[in-house]
Amino acid sequence: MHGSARRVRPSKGLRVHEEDLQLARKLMSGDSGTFAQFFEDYFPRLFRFILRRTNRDTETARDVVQSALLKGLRNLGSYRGEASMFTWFCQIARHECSDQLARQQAQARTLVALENDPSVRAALESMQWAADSEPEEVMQREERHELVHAALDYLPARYARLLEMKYVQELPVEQIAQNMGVTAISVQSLLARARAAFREAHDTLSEGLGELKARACRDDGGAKT
Amino acid sequence: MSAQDQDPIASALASAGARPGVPADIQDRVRTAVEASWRAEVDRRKHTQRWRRSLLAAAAVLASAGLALLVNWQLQRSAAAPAGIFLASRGSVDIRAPGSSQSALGGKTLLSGTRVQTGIDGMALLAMGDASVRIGPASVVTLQRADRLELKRGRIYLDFGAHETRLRELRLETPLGAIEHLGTQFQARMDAHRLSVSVREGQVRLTTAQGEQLLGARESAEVQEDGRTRLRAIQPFGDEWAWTSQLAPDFPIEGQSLAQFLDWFGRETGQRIDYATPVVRIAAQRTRLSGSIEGLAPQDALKAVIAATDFDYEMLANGDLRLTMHAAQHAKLPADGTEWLATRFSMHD
Repeated sequence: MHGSARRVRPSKGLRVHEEDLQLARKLMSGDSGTFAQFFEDYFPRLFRFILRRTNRDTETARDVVQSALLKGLRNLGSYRGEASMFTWFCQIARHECSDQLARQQAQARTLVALENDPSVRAALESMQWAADSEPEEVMQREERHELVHAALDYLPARYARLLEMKYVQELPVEQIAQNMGVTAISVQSLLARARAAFREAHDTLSEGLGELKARACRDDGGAKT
Repeated sequence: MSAQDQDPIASALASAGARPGVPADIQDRVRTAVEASWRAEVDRRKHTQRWRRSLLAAAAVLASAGLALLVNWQLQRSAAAPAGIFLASRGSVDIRAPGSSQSALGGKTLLSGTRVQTGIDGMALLAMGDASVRIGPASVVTLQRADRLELKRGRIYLDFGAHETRLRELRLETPLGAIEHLGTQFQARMDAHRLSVSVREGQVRLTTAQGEQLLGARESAEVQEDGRTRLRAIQPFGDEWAWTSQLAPDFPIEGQSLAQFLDWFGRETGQRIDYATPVVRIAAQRTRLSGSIEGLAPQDALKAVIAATDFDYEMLANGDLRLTMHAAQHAKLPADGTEWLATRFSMHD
């Protein structure tokens, strides 16, 4: 899964835009069942997507995702299916997140005086020490897990659920088929497609993460010299 | 080595474990807020669509009403215009005003768009401006305007009288060509695939797919479907014209001279009047008629009128009508007839 330097293009498995357009139309028509399914599929993925960007601040992530969902649902008419709906919501959420963090930073500047308080400074320093004390191996493992989860979140919801049932929960194919309401043969077929889609998504994210790290190293080196 | 060790995807997924779930309280709070907002947005959109549909429907209704008013106004405008006058008919004739399912037979004024349809025994006599219009058997004619009529099938005869001045335009349209009179008498016959135009007097302009041409008196043109036209010489009287005499406009003879009656007869039948001598001509001009020939065809009217006078007539081989006088009466007249007084007669004495 690693080591490929080529730019990975989204496969057909990731392009479900026509289905997403139908989903958008159903949501606009006010179908309650569609909304329930949409929320079940999209909210956890968006929440995790944003949670990584808010340094695991669940309240901020909640605000951001809620705001993104409200904005996206209000503007569903502008969704053209050129990207998957999840990507479309991710873009909205990322903008919301940037706005939210900018507001928080502005607020933090107004509170900077608190850091001059000796007790507060001591608490922050202790937290910083705790983070720095994490072993390198643990951090790398966590990063790999994050990458796997992020790749799963980028897949169509049923692919991700299928992979989790198969490889995390280790359910037998018959049980998965029953859970998904399909035949065992269909599960095998879906599994093959889900694995291919996961591999592409994981490689793409891994490649992107590598580029980010390399850029960060260059920036750090430049700053030190 | 387990199967997962050999399968990097399985290994990565198993190692990463399930994705962290979202705290239920957060998910519920967000869902409540988002669903309420989504529901409100759907309602707002539906309300907007309903309003837009209502607006479009209203606009459509207004547009339809406007269009209906416009069409009605156009119909009324065109329909309100008189196009001709119904004078007489024979046999089966159906005259319908535009948009009417009732026969307008008996109405005197015919509006634009009126259709006249005759049966195989039917004929109709109309007046359009200066023209006498006769519609033959098995014909369909529409009075499009006061100056335009259409022959769809059958026969039509137009007589603009013996006017020296140019009359108002009247255009006859057929599937194979249009005919404009240039002061004339002519008839047109439209069969399934052929148009025949015959000119008795004056001139017409015939316009077909092949172009336009002038037809003079005693000329006939046959126009084929492809526009090809064949010209031929014709007689201005005879069987081809006989039908037109059956519904000739009445000539009120009361107070008219015999010569005027003969002029009328000549126009109706296409026959030239030949006075045997100048004295006979003067005598005919000074002979005053009284009574009525209403309802008689020209030939019958001629017999009735001549029988009541001292004149006589004969039909020449060339179709001319030669007027003569009884020998005894002719002998009494001066050579130039100037001192002769008109013989008065009455058909209904």
